[in-house]
Amino acid sequence: MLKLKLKGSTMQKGNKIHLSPFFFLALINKRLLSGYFYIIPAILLVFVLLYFPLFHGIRLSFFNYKVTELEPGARFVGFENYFDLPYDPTFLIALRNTLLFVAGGPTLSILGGILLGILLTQEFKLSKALRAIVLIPWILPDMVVGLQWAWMLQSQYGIVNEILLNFGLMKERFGWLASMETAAPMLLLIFVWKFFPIVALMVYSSIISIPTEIFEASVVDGASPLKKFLYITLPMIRPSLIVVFLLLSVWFANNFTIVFVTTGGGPANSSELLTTYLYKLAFAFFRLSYAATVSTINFLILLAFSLLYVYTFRNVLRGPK
Amino acid sequence: MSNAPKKLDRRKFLYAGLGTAIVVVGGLAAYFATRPPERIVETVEKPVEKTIVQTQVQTVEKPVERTITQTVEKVVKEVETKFTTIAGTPTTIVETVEKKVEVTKPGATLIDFWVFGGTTIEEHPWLSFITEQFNSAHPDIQVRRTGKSWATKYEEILAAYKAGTAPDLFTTDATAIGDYVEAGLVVPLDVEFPEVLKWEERFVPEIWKNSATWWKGHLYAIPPWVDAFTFLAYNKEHFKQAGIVDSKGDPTPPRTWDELMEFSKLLTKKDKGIYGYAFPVKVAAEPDSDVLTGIAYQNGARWLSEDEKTVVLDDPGWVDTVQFHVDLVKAGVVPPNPLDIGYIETNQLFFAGKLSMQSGASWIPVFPKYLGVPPDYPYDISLFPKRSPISGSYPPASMIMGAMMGMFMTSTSKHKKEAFEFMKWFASEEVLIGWDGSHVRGRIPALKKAYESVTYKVTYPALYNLYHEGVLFKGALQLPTFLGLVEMKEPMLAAWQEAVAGKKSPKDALRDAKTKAQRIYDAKRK
Repeated sequence: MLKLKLKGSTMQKGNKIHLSPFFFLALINKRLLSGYFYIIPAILLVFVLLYFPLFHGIRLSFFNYKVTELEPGARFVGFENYFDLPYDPTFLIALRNTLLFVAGGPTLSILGGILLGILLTQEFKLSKALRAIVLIPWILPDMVVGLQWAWMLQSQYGIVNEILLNFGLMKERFGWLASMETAAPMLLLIFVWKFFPIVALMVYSSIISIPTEIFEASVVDGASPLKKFLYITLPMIRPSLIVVFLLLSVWFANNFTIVFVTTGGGPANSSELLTTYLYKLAFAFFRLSYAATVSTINFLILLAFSLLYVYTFRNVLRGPK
Repeated sequence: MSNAPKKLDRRKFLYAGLGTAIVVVGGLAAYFATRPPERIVETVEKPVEKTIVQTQVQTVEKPVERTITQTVEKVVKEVETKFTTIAGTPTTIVETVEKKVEVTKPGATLIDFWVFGGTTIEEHPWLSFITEQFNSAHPDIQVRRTGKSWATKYEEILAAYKAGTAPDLFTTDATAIGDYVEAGLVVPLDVEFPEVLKWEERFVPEIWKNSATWWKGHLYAIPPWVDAFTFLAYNKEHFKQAGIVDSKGDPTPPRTWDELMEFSKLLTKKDKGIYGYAFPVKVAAEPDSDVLTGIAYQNGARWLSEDEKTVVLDDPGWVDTVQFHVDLVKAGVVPPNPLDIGYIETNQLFFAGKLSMQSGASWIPVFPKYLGVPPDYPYDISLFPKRSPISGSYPPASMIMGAMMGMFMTSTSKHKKEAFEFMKWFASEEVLIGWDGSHVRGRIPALKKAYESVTYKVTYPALYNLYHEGVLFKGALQLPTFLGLVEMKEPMLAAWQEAVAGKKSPKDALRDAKTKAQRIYDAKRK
């Protein structure tokens, strides 16, 4: 029978609890509960800094709050802001692009990351230098990444056009970020360029942690390099890939700076993401409640995606029994 | 050895907490004990090319100009003395040296003055200088000038107002005046200080009335200058080489759209990478959208119907303006990939000699210095040519303009009287003359007398002539300033982009833009 002896009270399973005025004081004296007491500041911080803004943002989406109406008195509008979304063409473009980025970006990053990660495990001249250099895109601030690519892809004086023209791969200059067809895909590629090194590094670290005996045994069994990769490497690095896929989905969906610096969501809103659109709504158009609505949708997409993902791969994430 | 987690020693825990508290309290006590009295920190930057100004000013002859000349000479001299003190030598070129001058005057009333935007090369040094002049002359009032980002002007001032930390005075884009007034952020100057109405006589009448400083019959801001749209910059050397000159051999800018098309074809030399004309259509926010709006307004278009209930983006004035630019693209006189060209790129290409003409705002002359272009680069600016005949449903505007450095006073200011003293200085002729090109270039000065100065004549010969012909401000309108405009610019510019990219006809693109803009406008009016 569970029995806790606390100063000023007696708790017994199935019995009534009798609390004295000293109960809570006594409670924190017990080692079992004092741990919780010590983490209260951290929990409070998380609530204040994370959950409060989250719930405040969601609450805001049900009001008609304008930054220019600074006095209290925002009108409750229920789901009106949500009902406006399907009629907003810019939102629909931003939603489509965000979904494309969430689904396509991590996939491409992981494919590239696996190839590079395997390359990094090989020992060759300058292989150690390569392991350091490869992280540069990941280390660079988003602002720098955005500016450098905007310059490189500029149609009039960008180096990308210059190289393609000199190699005879193009006949005339092209505005990669200025075309409604290519702006969003180019941004996706910039994102992949930025994020795939971190995948490569995680793949590399996962591969080198695989016991060499397994590979040696497979060689004895006559396994080809492809089979070694498919039946040993890939299953062993799968938990890392699942985690990194989830992280990448969030990073791709929430990246703002690169889009803002390179295309600003244009031309004609063709490269708009939910993050850039909600920024404009909130800080350029002063439509805070509508921006909160778009933000909530972005949050729900990521939440649904994460839950689905975690549920699907729950056995892998749980680890070996 | 046991693996059980070590039990936390409660006494040690309490001692650690107590120790931390003592350190924090001690630190705070030390900070407050050693905290210096409140200081006013003023940043002074080196100015530019003052010697040119002095030479030009000395050539003024008219009696009425002499008064201004003397004033300007005095100011110039003070600038030079000031910067001699700071830098050691009189300056003739731009330098990035900054020096902080700390002025501690206990008991003085502190006026916070925020400046959103402004050019760092010329405008901020000038503002810094005039602020310091004021502070020297007013020991009891000290103005603290703080430069603020143009990009976040709306959110920063409104957030500061909400947080109770708004400055006493601020200068910014006056076209957001509606938002500021409706929020209760700014005070009507004509109500608080009726003497401001007497200042009218020193201002260009059109600027005083039409630069977005008035809202519902009340004056809220003082305009030292305006930015105006739309202008055409042209390369005089290219024009001479193509033989586009008058009987005296001087280049003649196009006056009509047909001439613009014709000249563009003559000036385009693709083998040399030179194109006749380019327009900014990349950036959804200002200035690109304002440049295009200016051309449409000059063609008799408007944003709203006369009763201000309907968005009229489908007016023939708009459709023909977009169609004309689509035709220019199709004629091959515009650099390829026009959607990759914003106001920065047009200026880069123009001042690199790769463009013969570009449309832009009145501040095109600001760019040469930023781009390191020699001061004698052979170019001039003129009003953008007009369609003949005008196709819009409304009277054509000569240009649309707005006070982009309108000085507002906040309702939260606790020292309105003292703040107004600085505003008086800011609106004085001695200060306003600085924007005629003598201290700051690339602005349309609000001071009437600025247009009589030789500095202005030498700096902007074409505009000087237009002013004295009575053309420059004839029919000038203020930049649109209704609620929701910032958001409505997005679909408008998207329509331009879709039409230029050939995705939609100008008519269809503008019809779709009108639908979206109308929805935004209706929502704002609710």
